[in-house]
Amino acid sequence: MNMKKQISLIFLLFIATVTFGQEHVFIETESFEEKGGWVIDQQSFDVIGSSYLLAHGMGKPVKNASTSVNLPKAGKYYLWVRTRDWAPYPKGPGKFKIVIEEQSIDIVFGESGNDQWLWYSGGEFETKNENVKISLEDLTGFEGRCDAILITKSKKFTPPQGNEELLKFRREMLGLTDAPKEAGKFDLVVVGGGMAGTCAAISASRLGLKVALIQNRPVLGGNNSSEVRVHLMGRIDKNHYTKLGRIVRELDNGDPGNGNPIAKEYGDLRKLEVVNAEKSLSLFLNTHACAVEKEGNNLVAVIGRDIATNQEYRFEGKTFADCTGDGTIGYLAGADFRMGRESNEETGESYAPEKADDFTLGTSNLWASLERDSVCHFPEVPWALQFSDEYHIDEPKSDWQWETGFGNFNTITEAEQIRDHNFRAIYGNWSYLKKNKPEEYAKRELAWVAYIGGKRESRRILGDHILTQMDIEEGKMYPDGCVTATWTIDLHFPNAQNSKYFKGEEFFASTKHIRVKPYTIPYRCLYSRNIGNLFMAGRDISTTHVAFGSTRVMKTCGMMGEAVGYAAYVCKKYNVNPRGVYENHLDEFIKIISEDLPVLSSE
Amino acid sequence: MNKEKPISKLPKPVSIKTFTIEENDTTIYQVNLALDSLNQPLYYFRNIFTPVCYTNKCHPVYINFYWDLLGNFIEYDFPPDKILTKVDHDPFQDEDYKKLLDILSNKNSLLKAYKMEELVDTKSLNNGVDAVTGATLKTIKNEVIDGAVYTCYTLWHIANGEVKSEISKITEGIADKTLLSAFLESDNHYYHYYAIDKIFGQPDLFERFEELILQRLSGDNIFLSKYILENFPGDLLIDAEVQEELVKIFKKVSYNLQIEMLEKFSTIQFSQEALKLLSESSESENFKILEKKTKVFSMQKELPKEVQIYLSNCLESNDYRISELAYKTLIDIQPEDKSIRKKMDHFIQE
Repeated sequence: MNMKKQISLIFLLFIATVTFGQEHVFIETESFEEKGGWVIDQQSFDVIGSSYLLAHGMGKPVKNASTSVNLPKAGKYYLWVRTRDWAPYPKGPGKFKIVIEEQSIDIVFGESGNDQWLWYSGGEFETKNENVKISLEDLTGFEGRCDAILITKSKKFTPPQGNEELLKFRREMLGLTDAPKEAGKFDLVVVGGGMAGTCAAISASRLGLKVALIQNRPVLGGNNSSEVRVHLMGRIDKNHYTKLGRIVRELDNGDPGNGNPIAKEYGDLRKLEVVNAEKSLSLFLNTHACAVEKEGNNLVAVIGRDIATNQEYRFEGKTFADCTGDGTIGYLAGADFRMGRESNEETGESYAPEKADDFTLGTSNLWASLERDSVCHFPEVPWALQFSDEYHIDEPKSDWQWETGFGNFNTITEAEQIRDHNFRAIYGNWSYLKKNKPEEYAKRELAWVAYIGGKRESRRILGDHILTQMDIEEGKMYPDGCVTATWTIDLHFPNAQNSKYFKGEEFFASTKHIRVKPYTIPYRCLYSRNIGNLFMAGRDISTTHVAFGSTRVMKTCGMMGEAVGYAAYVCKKYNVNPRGVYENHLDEFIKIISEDLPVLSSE
Repeated sequence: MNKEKPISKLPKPVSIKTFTIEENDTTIYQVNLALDSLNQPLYYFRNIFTPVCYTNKCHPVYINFYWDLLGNFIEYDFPPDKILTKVDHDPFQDEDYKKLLDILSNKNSLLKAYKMEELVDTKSLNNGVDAVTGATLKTIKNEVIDGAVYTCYTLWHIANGEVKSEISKITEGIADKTLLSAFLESDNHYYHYYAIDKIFGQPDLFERFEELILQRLSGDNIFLSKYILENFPGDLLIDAEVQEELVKIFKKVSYNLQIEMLEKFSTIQFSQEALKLLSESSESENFKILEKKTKVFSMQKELPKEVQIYLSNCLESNDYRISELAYKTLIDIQPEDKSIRKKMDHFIQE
């Protein structure tokens, strides 16, 4: 092709790209300037590739979310809205409208009876301005959700409905095909800001490491944050190595029980202050780790996406700690992992089932009501679970038993459905109590309902040792035993009565506590056996499902984080991988986690 | 401090029948059946004396228990001058009496699963369920009264033990049609299940109780409704009149029950009249409803024209799954009506 033709071709392509860009304006709702009463939900990010805005009003419509959009020019445009009907029984309550320049478009979104995430046409609108204000108007306060809005000049254009296509489309529209911004080079990159991750980051930074702590919510604490409100369990005073547990104690804001209606009892601010006091610790909130870079068997970097702006960041590290709960980094890196229950034939554990299966512990959305001065009403909820005098849960607030999942839902790929099922249980039961038990409930009002699910179990990344029931029962002290755990083997299962009335969609659990004597968790459970530089801490460490029943509580997980931080220091000091610490520097690691006792000279 | 003892709110019996129950060699006692002025059974009661013992310490308890006609615990009260006390002779307070009522009324109490020796009675129960403390304490804390754990345990077993099946046996012996009617009209869901089982077990009884049963089917206890549906005798489902009543009920019940009803309907050969009623659509129908309805239609030997009209209206739905399924179903039916065929052609062109 001659030079002139080449130039013309390039010129035409350029025009096409610009024109294409000018044809559509794509807005992720989580990037709206004003969120109003809507909240950002990122729980399904790994499934749908995006966060969305949720109208979490517990039955009271929330304030509008709004943003200003720059259109190429004034004129006629076509509107598309991405949403789903989350409770099509037969039609759901998540209803909302779109408002353009203070004019509400006369279409109700969110009640189509179809629970797939889809683009719905918002018809056409005409504007005299280039800059328009777009708002989401919630109609019910019952969990309406909007993922994205597309404004286009093209009448014929339909945005891609399928997930694969849409992911590509999103990346183009958001300009994500460009490289992510560099967020820094770190000795240790900790992904996950729950108890485990926060303790790991603090412990490593106090020994002088440069640490990044990446958390996909606006607060630290994970299940112990004010967004989920599960209290900390597990003892820190039985440690064989007494240095462990100190950072957990610093972060512990006291025990307000589960689902306490007072948010600040959970110490979000305390955790933030402790983290901010660490000079070599960089905190990255609202950042969801969604991709990794590897070289051979080692991780090189983690890519995180801001859950509001969708800006991508690259975190380069020498060692990495997967404290995500879901084992997301391990999974993305190709680490060996397990999910569900092993068979007793495979593990030799008496509490393991006969056949291996997908059963996991469930996810809780805790809730609480408060007494008000006067009678208050709750809307009708025919789309929720239905109760009667024969069966309902007569409590003004929840405790740990409100739990959905088990073998009925996958806690990762169906996290949204689990959370929504919990909503249907909570609202349906509450509606029954309000209508039928006025003596106790007429003046009570729902004060708080978690919209972020408190997950108990998902993937477990496999290490050089897999902790078993026998390790726990025998109290085996391996040479690399480090964290002392104390919780019972606490494996939940669907409550029998709940199962009778809601078979296959149980939302209430029972448990049987199997007492244990304090035992130590080997260090080899805290790093991946096949990814060279990956640590784990939290519920995703290397255990069987049965052993996980005991290790999973948050103070124990916090101590795992402390141990990982110290191990990361040893890695840096000797330029070895986590396994190298076990093989060649175990003594030093043990020394760090032990109390340094003064030596009395005998001379 | 308010020390008001509970007093039974049940109507005083006009007459009483006494029965002796022998659970075993050592457990023999009397229960009384309270009857009204028409000699109809009301409830059972027992004037109890029992020692509450642990290790070698015992203290006596005098209390009256009341059960419904199927042996479900209702409430308790006391003979004159009798009260309950705790381990250190502290009398029960108002809230203790209330809590005891909750405990005794809870059929699924953890007290069922534990042996007396496994319970620890201490004023300050530990928090948490860690290695050193007991597993029982936290889980059972809400289900006992501090300082009266063995009282709760003993009384719970008296209220919810063998007496239930013994009482049921007695009632079984005296149950007649009048009682079944009273059961269906009451507010007691245990009575409802009992009556449904009896009537469905003898289908020639159905006609007499049809109205009451269908009322319960469309009533506000979804679990009972599902039970009625699940156990509806096949013989009765052949009856065209019953079918029409069921479809009328289908139109007004909750979505959840509608889905179950359609599942049931797909096992029935419906009358043409019933199918006409079923093909009246409503605004709120979603894809799942259509899916289940088309399954019902596909099981029928003959379909009225109204079904075709219904399906052709579905072609205009905003939900592509509904319109596609309606179209597929119409293709199978091969309607002759020109206006319906026109709608089908229009749909396929879109």
